[in-house]
Amino acid sequence: MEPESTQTTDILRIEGLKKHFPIRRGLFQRTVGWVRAVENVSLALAGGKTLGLVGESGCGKTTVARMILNLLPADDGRILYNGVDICGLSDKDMQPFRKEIQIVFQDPYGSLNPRMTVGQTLGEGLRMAGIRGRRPAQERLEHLLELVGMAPAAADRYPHEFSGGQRQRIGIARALSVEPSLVICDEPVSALDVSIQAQIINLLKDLQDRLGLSYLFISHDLNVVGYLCHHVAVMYKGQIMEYAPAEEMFENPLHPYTHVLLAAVPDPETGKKVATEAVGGEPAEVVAAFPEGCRFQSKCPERDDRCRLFGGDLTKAGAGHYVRCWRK
Amino acid sequence: MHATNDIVLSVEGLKVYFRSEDEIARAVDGVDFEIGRRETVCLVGESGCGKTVSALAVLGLVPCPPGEIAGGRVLFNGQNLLDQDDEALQNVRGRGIGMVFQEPQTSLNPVFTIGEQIAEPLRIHLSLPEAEIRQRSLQLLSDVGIDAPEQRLADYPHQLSGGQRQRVMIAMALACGPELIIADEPTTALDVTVQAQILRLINRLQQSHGMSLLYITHDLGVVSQIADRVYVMYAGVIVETGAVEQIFRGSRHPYTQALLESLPSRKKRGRRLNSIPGAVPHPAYKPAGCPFHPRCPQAIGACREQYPGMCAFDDHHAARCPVAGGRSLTDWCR
Repeated sequence: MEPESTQTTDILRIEGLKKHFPIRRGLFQRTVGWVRAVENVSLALAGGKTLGLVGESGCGKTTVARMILNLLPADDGRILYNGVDICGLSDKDMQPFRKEIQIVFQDPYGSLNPRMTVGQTLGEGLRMAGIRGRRPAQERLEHLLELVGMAPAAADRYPHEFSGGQRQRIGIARALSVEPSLVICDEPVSALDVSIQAQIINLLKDLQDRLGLSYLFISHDLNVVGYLCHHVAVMYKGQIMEYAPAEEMFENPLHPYTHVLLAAVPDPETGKKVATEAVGGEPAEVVAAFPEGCRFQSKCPERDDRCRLFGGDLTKAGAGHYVRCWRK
Repeated sequence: MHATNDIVLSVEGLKVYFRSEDEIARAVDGVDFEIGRRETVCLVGESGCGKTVSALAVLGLVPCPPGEIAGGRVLFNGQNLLDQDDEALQNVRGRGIGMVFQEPQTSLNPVFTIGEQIAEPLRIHLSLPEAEIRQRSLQLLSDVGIDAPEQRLADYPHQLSGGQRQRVMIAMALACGPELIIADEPTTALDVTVQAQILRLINRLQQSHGMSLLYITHDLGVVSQIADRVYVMYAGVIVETGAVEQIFRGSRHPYTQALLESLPSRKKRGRRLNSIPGAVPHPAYKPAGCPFHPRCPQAIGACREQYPGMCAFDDHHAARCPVAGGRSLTDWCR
């Protein structure tokens, strides 16, 4: 069962995406098992909207992002960008789509080349976008910097001269330099200080309003996701557990894992004390156990024997609301 | 605020500077705070505000040089730790004051087993016989909620998950029954569900062991859940302090207010987040007057020239801002 978007103009549709990584051991690196990192993941993102992909570290969020960008071959499934399947395209065939789909990384320090000035970094993208000639390139460069709220003088400076927040602005400008329609934001504010986070979140929102961008927003921070996203998909051990419009997800969460996740989020506005006996998945188990049946069974407060046998499919539970739990 | 004998740790006018050839970074620039018995106190601020350096200074762990304790007192049960020699401090660290650091993967030694590392404080401080050390280690591991402690004793740190390593760090901090635990961003590197488990664990252990807790974090959500009292730091100074409700419901300092307003949440959907313009000043180039004035929406002329004093509003609640009002407190350092 694939989530259907309420709109017909989905910029991105993922259907049955799968990626298994081999576990190799010993002298001859024999494959002794498989990490089922991404299993039958289906998602839809409407044009001009933001889809939040949330889950704990190791749940497969970034693997999905890398497959969308074709940086990692998928084992199975389809990735439809505006209706065209881009899954498994060759580098050459992927080229036009690279201009359409861009990514902003988490670490603004590690993702910029320290030997290139900001102007050079952005200039690479401008050349890719087919902007030739000094004058037009210069104008476009200034426009880009203005878009992300930086002065034109920044073009001649190196990444180390900027603070974390400024570097993230440069990272965003670089993504925008080829005029993409879809931007994958992989934890773009997690490494930033609280007072800087709000600046970048506001910037992402402004850019969406101004340029009509669509975002796939990958995050573990449910407060940010709740603020920014239109739809939310909750991922656990490589599977989408629940998918719903953001309001619905927070008001009426159905999957036990979503409950656990929401209960664990500290909310400074209510200041509720840590009381709920939440259960968590610890990253070390990612490699080990992908049990038959529901992958959340060992931590689930509502489990019974049947959860060992079937995990259930992603099933419609309301308007645009899907959940992978056989009891719901 | 407290009767003197109820205060475990009292820091007065602490200054920690870092010198390089051509500049002095005033990382901690006159900080006062105190922690009562069985109290949970949060030190909250953005990166570079001096919260970690303050904690390191309390424990005598600031590398000197380039660091330098430029002034102040650190009174642990009335005894000034800054006057003590290394040997005396060694006795306080781990025994009187336990420590939990941010990154359990780098704070544990990768070449020793968990058992050897937990045994170390017990051997050094309590000189227990080996059999008893093993017994205590097992007890500590099960106290912090680690399954199959016998097996874990023989494991190396890389064999544990992040959450489990942090539990081991907490077990080590607890080993000698300290009166105070200093935890520096212990859950920042962890997932939210694991963070919730660790926070509950700390809370439970604190109650059962009757310890005081100094919890350092930048996460206001965590602060709202665990703190009794809060100190808000900015650019090396305390700008506001109060009970947790006073800070979250009635903050008086523009910085605290702006921080709270800038937090994203789903209730703020559709509204623009109130971001703080600019960035935290470099500790070597702090502006004159109030360090927050260039970013402050309420700054007045006096803020540019005069370093504001601490002014009190209610019990426990005080802020360092001339615009916020309050009655002047003369006994606060600087």
